[in-house]
Amino acid sequence: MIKKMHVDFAPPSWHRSLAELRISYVVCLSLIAGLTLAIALRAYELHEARNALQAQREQLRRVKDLQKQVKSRARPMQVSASQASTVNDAVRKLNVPWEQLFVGLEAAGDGSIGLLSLEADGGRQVLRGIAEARTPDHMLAFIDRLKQARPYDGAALLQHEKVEAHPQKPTRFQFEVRWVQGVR
Amino acid sequence: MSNSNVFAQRVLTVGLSATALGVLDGGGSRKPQSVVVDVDLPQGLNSLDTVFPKELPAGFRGRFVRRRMDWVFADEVTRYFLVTPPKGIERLSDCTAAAHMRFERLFDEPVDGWRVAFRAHPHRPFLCVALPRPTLEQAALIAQQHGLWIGRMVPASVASINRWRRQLPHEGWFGVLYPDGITLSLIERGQLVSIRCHRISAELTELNWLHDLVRKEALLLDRAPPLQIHLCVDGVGQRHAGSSLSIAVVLLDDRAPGRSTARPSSQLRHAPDGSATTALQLAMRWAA
Repeated sequence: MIKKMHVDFAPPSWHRSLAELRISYVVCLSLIAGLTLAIALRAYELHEARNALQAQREQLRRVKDLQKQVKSRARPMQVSASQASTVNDAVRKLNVPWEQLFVGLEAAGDGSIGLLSLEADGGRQVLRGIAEARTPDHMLAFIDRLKQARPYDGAALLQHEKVEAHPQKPTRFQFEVRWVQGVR
Repeated sequence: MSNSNVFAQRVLTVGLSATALGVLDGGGSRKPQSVVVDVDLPQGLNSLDTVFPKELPAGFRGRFVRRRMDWVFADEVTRYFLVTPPKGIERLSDCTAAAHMRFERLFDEPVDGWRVAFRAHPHRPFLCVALPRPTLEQAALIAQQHGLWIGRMVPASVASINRWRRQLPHEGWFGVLYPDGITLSLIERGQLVSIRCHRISAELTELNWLHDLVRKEALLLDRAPPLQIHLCVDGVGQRHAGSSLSIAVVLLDDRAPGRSTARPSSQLRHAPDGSATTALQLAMRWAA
């Protein structure tokens, strides 16, 4: 087969270009166009996904920046030992179960005992009090009843004396009781 | 026109020789080909722009608008020549200059009045084809005036070679036979190395005229006498049975059963009395 002779005197025109367009060329061009379109679509999807990832990364970066700012602003409070002790004492005093303690004292007392003062030590869970009894026997009976009253867990008589200046000469005594843990 | 073209459509083919003009309506899927115009050109190619619109049937004028128009030029108005590129050639303009110089030397006239077309090769001789520039300009003007666009403007032999190139051998002789002439081409290594037109006179038809003509052409080109020639006849003249020939002829006949297939023949039937117009119609059909 000899080669085609490309001798043509026709002036160039778009009509000629279309007329010489062959199906094989169109198929090839269509395939190339389709492939290009598919690649372009895929590239667009990847571009969009990349943008979304970048946006998420930016958001994360902002959150981390905020966390850093919050951490940098929230400095630890410097509390001295005495301040801490004072605060702890105050907290312990606030946490003293006065209502339960008074119920126990009322259960142990009777008409012969008069309470003069009460002082609670929250840290040691100890209640100290000063009271007056008509007689020493009444005083001892009160201490015995305190030992068995709830919420107390042990009672002790610290000191006692007779008040001579009083016309009825009562016995003034100082006692100490320990309450059990967990009483509210 | 190839069926594999995307935008295939009906083609109006114009055949032009030095003395005749023919217009062939290419038909379509339901309509056969038909000759629209078939006239002589008494004043030659110069009367083309006046004859064409005058001879065109009125009913066709509107229907041709925006259709394709192909032009086929008879070999008698075409000049073929081979150019051997000079050594050390570097640019296409060098090939153009060599082709123009070869034209002027061969035909002894300025190349300005002609348009030369070729596919240059830097190391091998290449074929050049020249057509009269005024004729081409007139053809373009006619197409423009009738709202047509030009698809091809080719010489008849080039169209025939392109048409039959799949049936032609890698080496051999190829002839295109018209009622009043023949164009002989020599193909070597798949390339066209010579092409020449001959008029067939009455005495040539007597005895072995084809053998003598091809042998003479081979001697001129310093080639061995050929034993075979592929001849495109398309059923040219069936009235005269020639004498037996001493050269094998492979007929390439478009009207033969099994189109586009070559069939060998030991006899050549040829009548030299066909008109130039008939030759044009054949050329147009070969080109279509």
